[in-house]
Amino acid sequence: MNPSEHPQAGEQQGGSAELSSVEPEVAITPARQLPVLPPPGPQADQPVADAAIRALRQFHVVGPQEEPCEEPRWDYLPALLFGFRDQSRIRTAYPLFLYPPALAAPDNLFETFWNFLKSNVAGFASEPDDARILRDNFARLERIVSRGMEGRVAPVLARPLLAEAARELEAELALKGESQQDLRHDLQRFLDNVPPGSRLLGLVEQVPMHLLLQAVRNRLPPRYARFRERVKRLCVQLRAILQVEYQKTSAARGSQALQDALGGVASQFLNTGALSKVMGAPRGSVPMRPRRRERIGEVLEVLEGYLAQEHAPTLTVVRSGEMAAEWLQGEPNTRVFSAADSCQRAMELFDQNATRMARLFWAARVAELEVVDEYEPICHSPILTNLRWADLDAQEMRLLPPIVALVDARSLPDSGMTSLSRLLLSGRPVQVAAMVQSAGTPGGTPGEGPFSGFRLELGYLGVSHREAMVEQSSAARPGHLMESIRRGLDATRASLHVIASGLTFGGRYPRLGAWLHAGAAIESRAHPFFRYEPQAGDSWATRLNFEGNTQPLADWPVYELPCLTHDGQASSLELAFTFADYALLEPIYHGDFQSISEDCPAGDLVSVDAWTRLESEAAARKVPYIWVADADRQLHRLAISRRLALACRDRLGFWRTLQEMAGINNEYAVRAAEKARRETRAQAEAELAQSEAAFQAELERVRRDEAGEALSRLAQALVTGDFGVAQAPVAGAPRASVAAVPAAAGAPPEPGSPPEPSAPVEEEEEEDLSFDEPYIDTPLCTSCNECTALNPQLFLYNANKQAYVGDPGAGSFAQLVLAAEKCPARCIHPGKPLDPSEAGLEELVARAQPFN
Amino acid sequence: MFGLKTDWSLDVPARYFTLDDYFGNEARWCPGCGDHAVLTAVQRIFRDEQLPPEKTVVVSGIGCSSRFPHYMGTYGFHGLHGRALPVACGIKSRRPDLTVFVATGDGDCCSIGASHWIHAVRYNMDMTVMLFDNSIYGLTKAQTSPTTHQGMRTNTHPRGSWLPPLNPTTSTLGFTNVSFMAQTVDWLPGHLHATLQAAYRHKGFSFVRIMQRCPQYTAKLFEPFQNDPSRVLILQHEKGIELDEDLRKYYKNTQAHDPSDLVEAHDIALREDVIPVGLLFWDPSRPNYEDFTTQGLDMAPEDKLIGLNRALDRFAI
Repeated sequence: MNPSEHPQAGEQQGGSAELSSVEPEVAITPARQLPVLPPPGPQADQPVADAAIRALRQFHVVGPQEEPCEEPRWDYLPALLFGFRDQSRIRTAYPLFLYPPALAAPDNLFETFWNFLKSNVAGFASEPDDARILRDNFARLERIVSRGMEGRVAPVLARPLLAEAARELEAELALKGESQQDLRHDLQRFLDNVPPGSRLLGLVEQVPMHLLLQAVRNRLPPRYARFRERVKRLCVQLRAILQVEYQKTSAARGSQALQDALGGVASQFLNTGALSKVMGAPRGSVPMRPRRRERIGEVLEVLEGYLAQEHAPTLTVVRSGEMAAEWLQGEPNTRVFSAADSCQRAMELFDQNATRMARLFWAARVAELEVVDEYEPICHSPILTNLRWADLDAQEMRLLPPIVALVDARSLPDSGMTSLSRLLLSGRPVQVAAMVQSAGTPGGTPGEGPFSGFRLELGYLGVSHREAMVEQSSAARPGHLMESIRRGLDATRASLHVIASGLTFGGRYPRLGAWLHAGAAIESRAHPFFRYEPQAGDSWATRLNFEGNTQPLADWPVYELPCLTHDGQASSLELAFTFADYALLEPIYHGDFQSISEDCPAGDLVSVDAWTRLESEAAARKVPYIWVADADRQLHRLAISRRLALACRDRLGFWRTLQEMAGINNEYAVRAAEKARRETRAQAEAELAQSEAAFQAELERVRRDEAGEALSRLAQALVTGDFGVAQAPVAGAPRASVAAVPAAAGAPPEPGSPPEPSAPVEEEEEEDLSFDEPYIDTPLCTSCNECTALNPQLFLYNANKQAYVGDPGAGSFAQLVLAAEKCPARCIHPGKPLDPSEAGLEELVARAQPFN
Repeated sequence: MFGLKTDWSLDVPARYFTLDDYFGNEARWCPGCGDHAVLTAVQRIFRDEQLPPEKTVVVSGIGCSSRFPHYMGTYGFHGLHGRALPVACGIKSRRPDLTVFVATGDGDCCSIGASHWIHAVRYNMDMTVMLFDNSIYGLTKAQTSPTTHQGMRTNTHPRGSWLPPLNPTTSTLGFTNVSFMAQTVDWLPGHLHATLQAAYRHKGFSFVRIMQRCPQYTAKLFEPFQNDPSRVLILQHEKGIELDEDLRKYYKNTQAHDPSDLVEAHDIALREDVIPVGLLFWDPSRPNYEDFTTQGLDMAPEDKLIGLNRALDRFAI
């Protein structure tokens, strides 16, 4: 991918068009609620300042003195997140609206509830003012639905939940009269448009599994149906072959067979015994070899046995021993296995499935050869008889029931890593899902954080297996996640999905909510997105997909935070969102932050972003800090410990590695570009020098020629006394400039030249339209009550109190004409009379004429 | 950023208001009166902005249009002739949390209330002022008003108004500290709505002159302009007021005008061959008087007492 094509901040890609759209920059600061900078500290005298920075340095170098604690020490949030403290007031991608998988298009399996709400209502109310009350209360309805989703660990049927939410909305608004009726009517239309079987899914721990189920139920049935059709066709063809063989036998021409063939009535008039003797033996036909007949019979039995069974897509989940599986309760066609080593168990189950299905695929392959009579036992038997999973082709592989191995990151230090590696290397198309906490180290021992050595990158480890598909995604970006799941299901190789859980290091629910917490992990490069697809090609450029990351060209994403100075003046801060900012959301790292006193000299402090760019020696002299905001919108600075600063460097290092792999800031590419630039520059300089030399030579020549010409003219003038000769233009002097001037604009065209095409007619001619039905140009109505006073059934007001024709039959043509005449906005058009028996029509039609 | 879209806020107000919530008494203006259009536009804006009725006040003086507060389901103050603006300024100076709309006519504002008008513009307090300009004293049966066109016959000038009319637009643009001046007409309801909405959203004194017809006395006054859309000049600018999309194909006489250009605004306002509609002038940086008058409003009585004592102590012997 070209680096310039990388999506920028705020961009997402995903499973639905809405999720993939590029959004403009988000206003992170609600109007008049800007955070406030602290006042500049008093100018401390030197000893006080020295003491303050000494204390801060000591903290920075030594780090926290207390044991890590899972209880938060600070109420601060990273400054960029200050506006989102109350998560109940934030719209996230959840709940997701899951369409019935059997009916949904493959690229539209779900969308955010918000988008579903809008598209549903737009389906029956196209004008902005239609269903106005419902539209105005979308956010209210969404909040009610979100509340209804709390505590649900699995998807819930949408219709009953939404019906309940609709009742709650009605009760909350407590409207009366016509407004209430309008709202109820629109809510009913909204509920009628909810596809039966659709479900809602909240942001729960097992979102990836539910999305996987959704994809399996969408993708597999069509494959099964196609294969079933193929098997049916083969069965028909094989039976036909056997029938032909039967016709070759004497039994097929026997008296009884003929009697059966002719039927009861015909056999009364024909002597089937005599007929049988007359028919004699067939000539030229060779009976099938018994071995072949047996083989076809065997194949037919397998295929017919397959057709006799129903095949719904079944998902097999193998979980590590301690992992919960309540989320699968009530999900049809799922099998759950529990094993200490989920990868090993998944491989065994896969082999069992593959062995069972291999018999079917053997039958299908043999049948294909037999129907065209190309089966050669010597050639085909050794291959087909011992069909193993590795011999299956891509189509057959995609028919195998999908198996998911849930990997518990805690099991990796033991045998888990080995069996994970073995599975990825084996090539078996098993989906491995590893839920990781972005602040911890996968495979780390309990309590081990990112400071204990360098962090293990599970995704990077997966890439080292080269031929396995690997993706790193997050439930916070369901579009990206679903895309990876779909690709994993289509890949005929092992797939490793490393998914951020959105929980804190201790497995707790984060204070900002899982969605925003996981989003912060993506932004801070703690959990960067990538997808490695070996099947996509041979180069990194084709194999590695880097989409979904914000500001992929930068080290850290940088945003401008509008704020106020302590005395209320507008100001702003340009802030990078670093791993240290993310760490502030993890209570276990709160000990690695220290308030900066006002006495600290600013020259010794540096932002984490700048610190990570400093050389080691310069960095050692500085104390890095981040900007944070408290609950009262006051901004502060917090210094961070050295070990946290080094963890930031570690995250940045891995991010830069991924960038290089994705072709961003790639050193080889940079060098090649520099080399190409140098060569181009040298070539251009050489060409320039050559041109200059040629120009100089030409100049010299012209000067020489002109000097000679001038001298000869001067001599001629002196001789003849005609000095006009000397002033005549020198032959060969440039005159072309006059000729080169294009004809002035507006000059008459030369005779014979084609006429200029006339300018396109800008104004379209108004069509002379007339309508039989009366109508009102509603946007022009000034709500003056003239017409509604005349006939309140014929003329009605809409939601904006502007008139439209209600029931044309509710009034007379005379009223329509009178209203048109009285209307000050002249927006009433009476049309033609509906009732031909109305009195005085001739005069009324004439009066209506100017208004139609 | 962080996966948030521009519509990330799920903040919903405690209550929801429909158009019905802003209906007051049944409007008793004549059928066909332009006041109805303004009333509907204001009610729609209140509904669109979800303004709590108990947090809004409509203030008026005397005249047909000044019946406006009676027809709104909000607080209202039907004041004395010409005194709508001082009442509104008084409300705003002590209750800056209230939304204030002012309905005043050409007689009410430009004649007896003219001195208040000048100073209210200078105070630049956050309110929306609607000048219902029908060029006549309608309530008292057709007397000449300050904006009555020269030569128009009225009960006080049966042979025609003697003087040229006062131009409220150029006058307002000439007052010190003017911050928002727009002009619209009652027969373009979409533009009227958009203009009043822009006026409401401006923090400061938003003055909107609405050319409107009195169906009884000046029904034909604007007929040439209504019949010929080219005689309505639409002012266009990215910071200006949009005309409805449906009407753009009819109203093609447009002019680009930067609303920060006061001199050009004045020149446009002087034109009599066309009616300019749109935002003539806008300067959001002008100071607001209520920022001064409301200082200390949030102080507790004890704090006020301490402050008072401290001030008095300066004179203690």
